Amino acid sequence: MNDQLHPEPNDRRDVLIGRIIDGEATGQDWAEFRQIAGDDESVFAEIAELQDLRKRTIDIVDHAGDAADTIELPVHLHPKASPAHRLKVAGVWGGWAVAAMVALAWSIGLRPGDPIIFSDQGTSQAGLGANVINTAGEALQKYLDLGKESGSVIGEMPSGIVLDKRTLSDGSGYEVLYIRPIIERVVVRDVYQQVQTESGQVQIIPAKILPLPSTTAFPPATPSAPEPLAW
Amino acid sequence: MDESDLVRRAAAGDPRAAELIWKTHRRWIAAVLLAHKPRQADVEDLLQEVALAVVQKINQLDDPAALKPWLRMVAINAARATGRKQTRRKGLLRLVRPNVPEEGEGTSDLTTQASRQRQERARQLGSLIEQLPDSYRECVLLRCARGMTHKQISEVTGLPETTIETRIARGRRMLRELAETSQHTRGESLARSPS
Repeated sequence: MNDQLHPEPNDRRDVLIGRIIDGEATGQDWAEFRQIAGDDESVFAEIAELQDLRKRTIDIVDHAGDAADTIELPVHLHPKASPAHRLKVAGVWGGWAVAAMVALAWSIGLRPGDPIIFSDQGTSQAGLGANVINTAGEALQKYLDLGKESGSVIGEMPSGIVLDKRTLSDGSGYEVLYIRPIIERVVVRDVYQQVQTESGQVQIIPAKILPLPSTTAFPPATPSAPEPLAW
Repeated sequence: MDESDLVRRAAAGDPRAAELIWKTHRRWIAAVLLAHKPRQADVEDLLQEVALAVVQKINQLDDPAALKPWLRMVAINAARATGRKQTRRKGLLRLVRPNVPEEGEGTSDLTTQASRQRQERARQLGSLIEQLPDSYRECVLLRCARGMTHKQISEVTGLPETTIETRIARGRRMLRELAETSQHTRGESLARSPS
């Protein structure tokens, strides 16, 4: 659509006002505007209102722009990024993975530092009474089962996210690096909200938690659901 | 180095080139998202999606000179896709809200009260902006993005500068008329409400 093909009666007047409130009016624009204002003084009130609207719109757009300034590009996900770069960047975000490992050890009754020896590495088994964990896959399955029982795990996503793949040197297959996403649940009672004071200072204040209508609420936590996290 | 070189390098996997492109354009991309996003969608979430799409698809950009229109389309597609997904997620996102005092409670806190008023005014203006035709809304918002001239908006949208200027002028006039009508309606409803 080209608006110039369908001119409207007020276009020239609106464009002139626009140039004035944007501070871009030329001498000729001002001369033309003075003629308009001579016939219709209400144009000054119009300019004042438009300036106010413009300032408030800039505030809204600036707010979104400030949010944009906090978003970094996930360059490690570029199709041509080197695996080393991907792992390096993944390491930065690896805190959750460490937490998951600790949670895994806790869930299956092990403490961090206790040995888990996986038989798929061709070595001995780790005896944990009746709960013998022979492979990493079994340990993960145990974690998922216990997590589902206690309510801390919802389940595993049906598909993983492939980070990289390369052909094995003997040509017998591929080595694939991938992420297995697991959906977990925690109960968080202390919720905080970042707000800006009138003076522009950022404050952290407690946020009010609104109960959801019953149709949209999550299922109630089971009695054995994990305790709230101390964040 | 000109922008086309940067695009070629980013497409070849140079993370610094990609980051430079993103940092140069992300503020106006936020304005495009504001113009096209569904009401409840969060600009920050959409920016994450656009950032991901930029990284994963920049090597599909055939003409490096067309970077800006391409970024705009990536943003519009992200906003539209969120609109389609939104019905599924409805109800799950609004778990918390700021701990603002209820009417008559804690009103002595002038800072909070002023902040609430400002937020309310921004919300009202936001809903008026939503009523503008898409083509006007995007131009009006882009013009408010830091440093965006008619020429730059023209490069992003592919429209002539004169068209951009006309759309902004018409959009602003419509916005002023909408604000006037809304103020009038609010005044009437206040006058009618029981004391």
